[in-house]
Amino acid sequence: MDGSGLGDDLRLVALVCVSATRPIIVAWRLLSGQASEKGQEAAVTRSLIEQVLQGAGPQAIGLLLADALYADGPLLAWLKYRQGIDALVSLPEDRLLYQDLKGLADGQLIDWTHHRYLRMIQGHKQVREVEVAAAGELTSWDGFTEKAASYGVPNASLWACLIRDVTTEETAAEPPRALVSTRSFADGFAALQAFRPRWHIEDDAYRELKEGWGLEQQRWGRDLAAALGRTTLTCLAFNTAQVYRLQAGERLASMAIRRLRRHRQRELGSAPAVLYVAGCYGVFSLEALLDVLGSAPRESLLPSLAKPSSPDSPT
Amino acid sequence: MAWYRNDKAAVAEALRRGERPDLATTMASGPLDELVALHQELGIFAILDELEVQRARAGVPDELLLHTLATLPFVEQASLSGASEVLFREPAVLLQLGWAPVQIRQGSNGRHRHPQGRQEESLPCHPDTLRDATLAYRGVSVAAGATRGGAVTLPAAIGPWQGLRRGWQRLRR
Repeated sequence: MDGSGLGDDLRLVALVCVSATRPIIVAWRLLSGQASEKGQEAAVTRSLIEQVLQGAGPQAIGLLLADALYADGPLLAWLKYRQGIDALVSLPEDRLLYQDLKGLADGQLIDWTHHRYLRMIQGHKQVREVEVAAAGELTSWDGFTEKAASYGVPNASLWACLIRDVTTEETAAEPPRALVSTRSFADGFAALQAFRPRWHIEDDAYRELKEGWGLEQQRWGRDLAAALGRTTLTCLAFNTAQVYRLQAGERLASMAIRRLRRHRQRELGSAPAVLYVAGCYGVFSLEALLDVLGSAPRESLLPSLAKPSSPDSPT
Repeated sequence: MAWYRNDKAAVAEALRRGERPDLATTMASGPLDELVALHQELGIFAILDELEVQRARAGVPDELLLHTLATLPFVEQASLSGASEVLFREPAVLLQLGWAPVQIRQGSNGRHRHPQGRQEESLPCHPDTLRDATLAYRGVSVAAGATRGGAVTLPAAIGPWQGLRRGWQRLRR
């Protein structure tokens, strides 16, 4: 889940499937006016989740990834205890839970572990080194625990981890970032790896929508309805293009072409021509066209087609 | 300019007589063609066809306008007018979308900025007509229509996330 501004007055909030090879936008809202102000995304999260669950069933979403704007205690409780969806969310530094976690780490009550992994930045491989420290059974988030209690779960708790980027001295000097989750991960590094696909939303979805599809620059009109239509049609086209780029999608694309052309005769080949003359039109292969014009090729590179037993028999 | 009948034998006979064709197009198979075909295969056009149009008008059918609009994002030009100009130079794709040759050649409505009406460089359909079509669907839910349409291929392509396409989107809530 993530949101991004489209100009000064619109905000697109989208629920994106990042578990596929390519991101697929499964639900979205275009917000305007007050609703488009940053920080309002959590308000539309429920409706997006409900929309997807209604259409795709209760098991459709296993883990929801979101940035700090969605670090909302009642939302996490609703996801976990009403919808059965775990969430893994960035935890802002100003939260009590963050301070508690950092206190545990500073007091050496939880251990830091060191990890190295490879990541791609703008096509270049880069080794990143991190230190992580994690703790479970955390309850210092009243908004979460109180809402969970109202759902009949009096002892609800959260799992969280600190992540310190130690790749360079400069990054190591920065305060650690934190993730919080309703799921207990094996360790902080596992949570970090689970969280990484969220960047597909920003890198492969929003950036592509804005820079590649021109969604921010060209709204097709000043009217909000025109922008809504433009956004909707672009998101649909974006998804089709993503499927097209999947291996399965490539097969699908050729299948689609075949289905579209099923009604055409096989002997037309892959690039037939349509001619309009004398109030009629006809579809011709290149060879047939030359034949009609009296200049048939002396030899054909096309194999002869076996005649089907009936016009309707499968080919 | 008139409507044409599908009659391959008559076309062949006219060509043998030496009659010059009025029009000739290919049925190309480029990326745009394939993306439009995939769009169709995934049921996107079927979803859009279920939208309610909140107006009554003559001229180009709204379904055709919406199919054309749905294809515009695939075109390199991002602006409505720029994309329209590019798309309307792809007769093979237009035919696939459902435009008839007579509509492509002659134009589909009398909306012209030029005082003398249609010009050689005029598009079959003014971009403003397309823009108006986006406004005609205001306040309409796409999601309800998205539950039908027979599209089963997108879930197959995205694996375990079956059925998500059914929740595609609500145009406005």
